[in-house]
Amino acid sequence: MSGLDRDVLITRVIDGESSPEDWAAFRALAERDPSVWHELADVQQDRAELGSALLEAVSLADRVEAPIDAHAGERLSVRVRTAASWLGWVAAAAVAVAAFVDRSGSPVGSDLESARANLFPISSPEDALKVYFDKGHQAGSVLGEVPERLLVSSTPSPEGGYEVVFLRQIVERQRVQDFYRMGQDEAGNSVAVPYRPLRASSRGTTY
Amino acid sequence: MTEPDGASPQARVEDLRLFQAAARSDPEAVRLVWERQRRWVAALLLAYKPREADLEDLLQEVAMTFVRRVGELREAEALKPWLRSVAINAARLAGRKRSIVRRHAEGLRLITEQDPPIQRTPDVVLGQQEDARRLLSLALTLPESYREPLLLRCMQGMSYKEIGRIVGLPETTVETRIARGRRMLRELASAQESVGKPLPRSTPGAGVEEGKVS
Repeated sequence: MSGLDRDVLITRVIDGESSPEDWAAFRALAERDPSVWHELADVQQDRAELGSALLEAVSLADRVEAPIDAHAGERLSVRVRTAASWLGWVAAAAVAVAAFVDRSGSPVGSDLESARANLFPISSPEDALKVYFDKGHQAGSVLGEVPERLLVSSTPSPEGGYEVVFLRQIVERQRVQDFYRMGQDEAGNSVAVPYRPLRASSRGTTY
Repeated sequence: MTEPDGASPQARVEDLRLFQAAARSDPEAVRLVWERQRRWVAALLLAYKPREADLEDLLQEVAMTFVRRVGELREAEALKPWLRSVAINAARLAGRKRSIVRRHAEGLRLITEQDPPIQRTPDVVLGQQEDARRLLSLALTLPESYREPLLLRCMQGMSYKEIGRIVGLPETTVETRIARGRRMLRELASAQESVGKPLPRSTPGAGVEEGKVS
């Protein structure tokens, strides 16, 4: 029997993983070489000591709880960040609306006929959007489009493929005298309510 | 889930239900599954962490990863091997961080005084308990492939088969490594006893000193 076989046999015996054949082999070995009993005792003692020291060392594990609350906090802050980015757009939309509406609540420059007169023939929505971007760039009021498009819904199309509804985000710049946000009066009518940014500074406020 | 392979079918079903609930991010199930795993994960970290790294800190890192990602697991069988890889990564990352710090600190080290001698009073050196800690420190100096199955085997109820599943090795290989590891440990202990050497102080994986795990 090789040294390794002997070690494996002893290991099986002290770990309680030995079969009847292993026990028979061990007894036969012990008859030929009684020192194997001493060896068995030594390994058994090492195993017990190692086990108790390890148990002592890892007992601190009982203090380490699953940080479920911290994780819930993380998930909440992700949701808040997501919501905040949406609220930023809502705020931006509100600002745009406020800029478009004068204090009396009527649209600024509502002479639609004159506005139409300035347009030239447009054959598709893309053409219209391109004109909008070009004109906006020239005027400095359209800064660009956010490359990511937000998927709102997708449904299988009867013609094959999918019909997707998504959000395109366009960044604009406008100069406004005051901020307003949409509110309601006592009768439930929509009114523009003057609004002052919380932390107005010379460097501005980013929503 | 810490039950040996001989666990009753009822216990296995209970473990499976618990895992499935944890995978659905049920907080109580997540907590319970972690409680059943944390001791052996700590043993594994002890086997892999650098001596200076704090075991509790590393275990907390693993616990955080567990809570964040247990919902991504699809099979209960995958839990332990996955936790093992998370723990080993955490321990090795700690090792890399330490080695960077050590490189930067080398210059300073040259001008510091020699380490003060370790205070060993009779009440600290407590016979059997001290022997056990010494043995654990020695076990942590064994090659990785031996010390990992050896320490896992010390955790209650882990069979060769289960260790094999965790470390991704055949049961017979695990058995051989445990046997060989014990032989190496006995030889190391005998060699130290014969020369009356004190506790090993600068071992690559060791983290146990004076009854305290660093």
